[in-house]
This record gives sequence, structure tokens and C-alpha cells, in this order.
Amino acid sequence: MSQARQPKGLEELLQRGFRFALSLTGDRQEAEDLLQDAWVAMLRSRSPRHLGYLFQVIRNRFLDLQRRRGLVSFEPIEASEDELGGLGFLDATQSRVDLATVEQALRYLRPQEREALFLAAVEGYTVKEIAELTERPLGTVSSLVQRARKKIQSRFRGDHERALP
Amino acid sequence: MKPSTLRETLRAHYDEESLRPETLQRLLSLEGAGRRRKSLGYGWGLAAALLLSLGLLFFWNGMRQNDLAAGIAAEVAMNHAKDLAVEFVATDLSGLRKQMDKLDFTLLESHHLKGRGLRLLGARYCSIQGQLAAQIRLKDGTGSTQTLYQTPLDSSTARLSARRSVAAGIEVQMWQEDGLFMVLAEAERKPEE
Repeated sequence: MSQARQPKGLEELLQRGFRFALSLTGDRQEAEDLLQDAWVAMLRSRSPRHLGYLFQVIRNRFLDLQRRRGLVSFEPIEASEDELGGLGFLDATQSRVDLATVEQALRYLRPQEREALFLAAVEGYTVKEIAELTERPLGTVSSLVQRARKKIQSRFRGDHERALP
Repeated sequence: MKPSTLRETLRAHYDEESLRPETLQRLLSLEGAGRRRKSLGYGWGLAAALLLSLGLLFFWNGMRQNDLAAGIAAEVAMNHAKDLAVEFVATDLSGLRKQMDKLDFTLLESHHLKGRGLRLLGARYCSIQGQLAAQIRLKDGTGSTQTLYQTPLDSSTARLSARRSVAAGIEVQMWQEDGLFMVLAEAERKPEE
């Protein structure tokens, strides 16, 4: 299970669950609905209030509802050679972008890209831990995070180029 | 601008996104209700182990039904209180059926609601206990809004008898009709003083 820090109480558990749901839906209202749905299911099953378990329930509910609505297909992604790396770029100063750009760019990412980036950057999951949670190959997870990073940075560069006189 | 890494910027972005305090409190109160039911369940479980009586078995089944009904009522009351905008606007059920083509069941006109003068406003997709459902928004003659949920019966809801309860100030009625499980939520009507 993940080495990510466990929440100190139920409030923190729910807030982190909400942020994970937001990374999937990209919409606050839908994230609240998703969290509520998952929370009720967890209470009914009387399972332990564990962060990893909450993430799993949220994710399963999201996939189930989206598949029923026919809105997304989670097709496999083949990783290219240059995408099979670690997550060190998340902490590199060369990869910096401003907050406004990130907020805009996140809207253009696919749910699985936002999800992988959130788990890696915000929750501190390793590629292996993300692969376990999402049941995806390691290469696919690396690829998703790298592509999300590239999309954000290309938007950042685009903004700067437009800002030049 | 202070230099920051992609990780720091993403954390800053998500740190700004939090559950609204009222939503957080509602979710926490559900946890409290679950814990109370759990401790009561243990008590009766011990009694059942001691007595091994058929009467207690019937009682336990009733408890499970009450537990499920309370969970549904809390979920539905919370959704009703959110007063979310409809995704599909329609003034009759056939219009809704055409638009909500992802439902794996047919929306029905409930006999239970006939003669109540309810006007259809529209609907959205939602879920009840994790099962895809239609959340139908209605308005009565006094202008107050009511929310009707329809979802196919499953092994759990098929065992629920018709009942009425109040959760968080919302009156919730649930019943079965032609293979569907229906739940109606509306503001609790207080007796006139």
C-alpha cells in the first residue's frame, strides 16, 4: 500500500478524497457527488476509513458511472521510450509553471492524466503505487504523468509567447 | 514571481479546493449515524447468539432493512438539499425518456403521485447506493420543489417495504412500482400552528 501520509482524522480523509474526486471529474459539483456516493458505500460496507481504500471506491464509482453514461473509455496507452522515466521532473525548477496556467491547463487534460498527475504530485505516490491503485502497467502510468506535464508546459510556453511584444 | 516546481504549484492548486463546510458536516454526520447503527447491531448480534431464536432472526432482517432505508434516505435528502440544476429539460416523461438514453430502464409515470398536481421540470443522471438512477425534478401547486428518484429494483431494494421517514428536515418516501424503486424527497411539512 502507498507510503503516502495517512490523514490525521476524518475531515482530512474527506478533504483528500474530495481532491482526488476532483482530479477525476474536473468539476467541483460532480466531485462532491462522487465523494458522497463513495462515502455512503464505505459506511455501508463498514470498511476501515483508509485513504487508499477511499481512493479505490471513488475511482470504481467514477469508472462505473462514466462507462454507463458512455462518456469515457479508458483505453490502454503505449509508453514511448522518452516517457519511461521517474517522477523527478515534478521537483525540478526547470519544470516550474505558474498557478493560473496550471488551473487552466488541468481542464484540458484527460481524466486519467489528471488522476495520475494528482496522485504523483499532490499525494506523493510512486509510479508503482499508482500502477497498483489504477491497475495499469508501470509504463502507462509514467506515460500519463509525462504527457500531463508536457501538456501543462506547452500551455505555459504558449502563454509566455503570447505575452511577448 | 516566486520560483516553484510543478509539484509545488499543483499542491497549491489542490490546497485551494476544499469541500464546503456544510457538505463536510453532512458527510461527517453520516459517519456518526453509521457508527450508532453499528453498535446497536452488535448488541442484537450478541442477543441472537445467546438466544438463537427465530424471532430474533426476523428482527435482525428488519434491522438490515432499516439500515438500508436510513442510508438511502440520508443520501436522497442530501441530494435534494443541493438543488442541482437539471441536465435535461422536459415537460413530459416521453421527452425525458428520449433524452436520457443511457438509462437501462424505462422511466415510469408513478401511480403513487397521480392527482397531486405535480409539474415536471426536468431531470439529471445520479446514483442511489451506487446504482444508476434518474433524479427527476417536480414542482407542486404551491411552487415547492420535489425530487423523484427512479432506479431498477436490485436484490437489496427489492426487500424494502414502502416507508416514509424524515432525514435532515427532508421528508423521504420510498416504494416499489412496476419493477422500479422510487424515492420522493420534499421539504418536511410542519403542522400548522
